[in-house]
Amino acid sequence: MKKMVVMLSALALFATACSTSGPISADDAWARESAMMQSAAAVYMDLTADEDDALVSASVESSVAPTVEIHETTEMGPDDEMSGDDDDMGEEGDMSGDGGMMQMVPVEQVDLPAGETVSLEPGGLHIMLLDLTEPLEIGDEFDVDLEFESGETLSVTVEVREG
Amino acid sequence: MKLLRPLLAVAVLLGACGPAIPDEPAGIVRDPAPEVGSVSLPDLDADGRAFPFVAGAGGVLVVYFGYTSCPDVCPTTLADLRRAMADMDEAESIAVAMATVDPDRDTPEVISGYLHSFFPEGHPLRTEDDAELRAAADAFGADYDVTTSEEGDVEVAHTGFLYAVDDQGQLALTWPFGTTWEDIQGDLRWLLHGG
Repeated sequence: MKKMVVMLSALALFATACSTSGPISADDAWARESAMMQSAAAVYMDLTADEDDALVSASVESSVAPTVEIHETTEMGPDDEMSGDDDDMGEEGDMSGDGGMMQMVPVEQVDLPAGETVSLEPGGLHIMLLDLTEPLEIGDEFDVDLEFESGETLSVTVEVREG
Repeated sequence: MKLLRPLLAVAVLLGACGPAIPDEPAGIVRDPAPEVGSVSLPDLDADGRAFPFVAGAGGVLVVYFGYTSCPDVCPTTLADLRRAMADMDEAESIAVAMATVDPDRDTPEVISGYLHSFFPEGHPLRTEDDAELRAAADAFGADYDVTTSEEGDVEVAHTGFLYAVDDQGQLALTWPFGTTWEDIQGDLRWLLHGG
């Protein structure tokens, strides 16, 4: 039995290492080390699908974080302004055209057009880990399990870096 | 990727010959420069005493308005600033302050611990008086909005700018989110060397 598990593990490792030969590949998966007291972290990676697909869900072991969501950081336009006093930027000289307010919005799915690499990167799309169980330290690794619209799944090893 | 190391080595060598000071800053210069030295926020590292937004003589004060539950924009910006300052001889002339726009969740322990893990000498600024926070943010042209959704999730929107203040209390430069650490470093040198 033990031998079987070892062999299966080896196979699993092999399969991960060769994930680029599957229908969907994930490259350069990383997360920034978390600061003290930081409760949420972001995971970034490059995703490429051979055929049109979409990332619909992501999860990690609860020993890393109990809740995982796919988010996008977006810059709000002037019409999205939520607070009342939105004239501040205009008076001082407009710096970005629309006030530069940034917010995170959950996204249902990340479309992956065939053959096109879609980057989850700082300031854009990211997989958000909420209520981190332990701080993420440089050199740590953990797996993110991805689910796609096609039914494909992919387990991706994430490396924690200084960022 | 292998190419990166020799390139980095060359970059370091070049740096040793004299750090590059840009002719023009990458950050935004606002004209006239907003005056921020007359506003202040309580500094948790000084028993809550008022921390005026003025750099030390000949130095630069870098100010950020953010929050700690921010997984993407805030740590990216602070990590880039840390990287920019890491190999600067002039780093001791640069002070860093972060004001939380989410004081309900960012208790004194949380905002202090968070900022200090990026900058051990950083000034964590926090007030529960929204009028005071709003006045400080307004002086910089910063904006923020904290709301709670029907599901009870706290949602925060904020301007992602990083600000540099001079020793006269004037807002010298504004860096939009996404400014590279190299540009921030060049601009800090530009400011410190009479830009």
